[in-house]
Amino acid sequence: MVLQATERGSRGRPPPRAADTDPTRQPLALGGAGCFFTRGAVAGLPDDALVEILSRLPARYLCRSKCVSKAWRDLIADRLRCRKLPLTLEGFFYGCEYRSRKAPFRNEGCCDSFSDSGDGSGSEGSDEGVGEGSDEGGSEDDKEGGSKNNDRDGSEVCGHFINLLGRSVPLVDPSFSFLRKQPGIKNLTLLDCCNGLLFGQTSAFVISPHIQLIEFCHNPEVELVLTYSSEAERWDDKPGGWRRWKKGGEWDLHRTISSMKGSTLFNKLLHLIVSPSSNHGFPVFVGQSKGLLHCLSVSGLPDGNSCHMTELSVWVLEDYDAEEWKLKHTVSFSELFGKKTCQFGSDYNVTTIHPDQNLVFFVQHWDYKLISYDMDHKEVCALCTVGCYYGVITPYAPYFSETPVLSKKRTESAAC
Amino acid sequence: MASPAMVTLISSDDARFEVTEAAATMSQTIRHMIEDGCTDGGIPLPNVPARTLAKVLEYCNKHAAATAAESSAAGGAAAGSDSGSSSSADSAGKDDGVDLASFDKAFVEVDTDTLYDLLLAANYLDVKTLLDLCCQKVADMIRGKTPEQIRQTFGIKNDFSPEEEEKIRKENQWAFE
Repeated sequence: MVLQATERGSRGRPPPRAADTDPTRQPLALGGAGCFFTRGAVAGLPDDALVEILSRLPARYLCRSKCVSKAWRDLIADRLRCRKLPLTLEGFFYGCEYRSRKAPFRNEGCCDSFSDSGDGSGSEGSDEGVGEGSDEGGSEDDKEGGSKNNDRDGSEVCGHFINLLGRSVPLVDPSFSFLRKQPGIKNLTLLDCCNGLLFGQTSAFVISPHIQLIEFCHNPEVELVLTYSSEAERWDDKPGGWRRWKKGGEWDLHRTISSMKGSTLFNKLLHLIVSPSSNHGFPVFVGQSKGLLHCLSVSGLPDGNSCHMTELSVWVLEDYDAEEWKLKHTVSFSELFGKKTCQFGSDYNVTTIHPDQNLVFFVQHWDYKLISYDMDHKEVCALCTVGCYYGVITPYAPYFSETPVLSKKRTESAAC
Repeated sequence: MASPAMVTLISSDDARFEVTEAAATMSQTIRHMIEDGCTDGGIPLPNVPARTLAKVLEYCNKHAAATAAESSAAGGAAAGSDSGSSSSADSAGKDDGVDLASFDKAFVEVDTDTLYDLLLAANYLDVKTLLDLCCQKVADMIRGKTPEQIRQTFGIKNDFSPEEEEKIRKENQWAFE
C-alpha cells in the first residue's frame, strides 16, 4: 500500500502549472501516513480518499477510470480496496451442472474466500447423488431428479460462460476442468455466486474460513433447512428453529419458498419470496439493483389463473424501513416474450436483475434463449441459446481484480 | 446567556482564527486535541493553510449553527404542549434542511484546486460530512467523462503505452459503450 502511494505520488504528478508557482502553495503532509504529495493531482490524493471518491461512482464509470493511469488501475484492482467499490454483472455461467431438471438450490452466505462446497459423501455414480444436501435431503432429491442426474454423472465435462462485457479473454475455464483434476473431485454443480466467489457442489470439500451456507430442500415446500458452518465443518439440519418460525410467524403451510425466485442478502438479512399458493399477482423474483431491493411480480387476467399472466411489474423498495414498494416499471408479456400469456416456471424463469443497470434477464423455455430486457428503452435482446440442459444459470459479478484466488487455484491444479 | 466557549486555530501560515468550540469540534482531530487539553495559545494546524482553513470554518460555522438551531427547536417542540408551537418548530427545521442543502451545493462550486484543498483538509481534520460532500463532488466530476477528460480535469499524466491502454479498453469495452 505504501509502495502504491509512493508510486502514485511520483507518476501522477502533473506538469507544473501557473498555480503551482504560487508561493503560498506548499506541498502538504497529510494524515497519519505522513505521505507527501504535490497539489493538483487526484492521483496525489491519499489512497483512502480516492477510494472514497471512486466508491461513489457507478460501476461503468469506475471501469472506465481504470484507463486513467496505472496508479488508478492498480487501486481499482486492489482486492483489499474492492470491498468498497461497486460490483457489476460480468456474465453468466451455465451448463456446468448435472441435475438439469431439478430446481436449482440457491445458497446465500457471507464469504471471504473461494470454496467448492460438498461434504465428501458423494462418490461418482453413487445413488446418493452429488453434494452435501444429499445425506439429509436425499429423499427429496431422488424424487425429482436423482436418477436423471446419475445418467450423466461424471460422464461429461462441460460448462459455458456468457460474457456480457465483451472481454477478450475468458475469465476462467467455465467447465472448471482444473477443479475436476484435483484429487477427490469428480463432478461439480455450480450453485451461486456471492461477492465474486462461485459456489459449487463437488464430492470433495475445500475448507475455507468464514463461510456460512444455507440450503433449502423443498418438495414442493421447504421441509428442511440445512446450514453449513465452515467452523464446524459440517452441515446441520436445524428443523426446530425453522419450524417454529414457520408455525409461529406469518408463514404457514400454505405458503412456499421457491429458490427459483431468487434470494438476496440485504441489510444482513436473507430475503426470500414466500409466496402464497394461490396465484393472483404473485412475486416471481427478488434481487438487488443499484443498492436497492427489487421485486418482480406478474399479474394477469382477473380469473387469477397463473396460466393467464399477462404482464410483469418491477417494484423497488426505495426506503427500506418504510416498507413501501414503489412501482418502477411494467411490461406486457407480448412485448417481453411475444406471447400474450406466460406461466412462470414452465414458460420462463427470471435469471437475475442487473446490479447496476435497468436490465432484467430471463430464460424463455420454448426456445431456451437467454434474453435481456432493458427497462429504459423497452428493448428485448436475445443473448444466446442456452439449450434445454442449461441447469442453473449463475450470474457472476466479480471484484474488479484478476481474481487472485481463482488464478491461484488454477496454478495449484496445474501443479498437481 | 453565557458567551459560547471559543478556541483559537492557527493555520500553517500562522493566521489565527477564533471560532466557537461547537464549530471547531466538528473536526474530530480538533475535538481530540481539545479533549487532550492542547489548546493553550491556540491549536496549531500545520497541514492547513489559512485560505483553506477559512473555507472549512465557514462550513463548520454554518453546520454547527444549524445543528444548534435544530436541537433547540427540537427541545422547544418536546417541551411545548400545544400543537401550534411544535408545527412551527417543524417547519423551521425543514427550512434549515433546505437551506443547508443549498449551502452545501454552493459550497463545493469551486475550482478543482480549492476542492482538493478542502478534501485534503477535511480528511486531515476529520470532518466527515465535509469529506463526504467533497468526495461526492469529485465523483460527480468524474462521472460521464472519458479517461482523457478525467486526466485533463485532474491533471493526471497518462503513463500507459498506447498498446496497454488499448488492452484495458478492450477488456472493459462495455464501460465505453
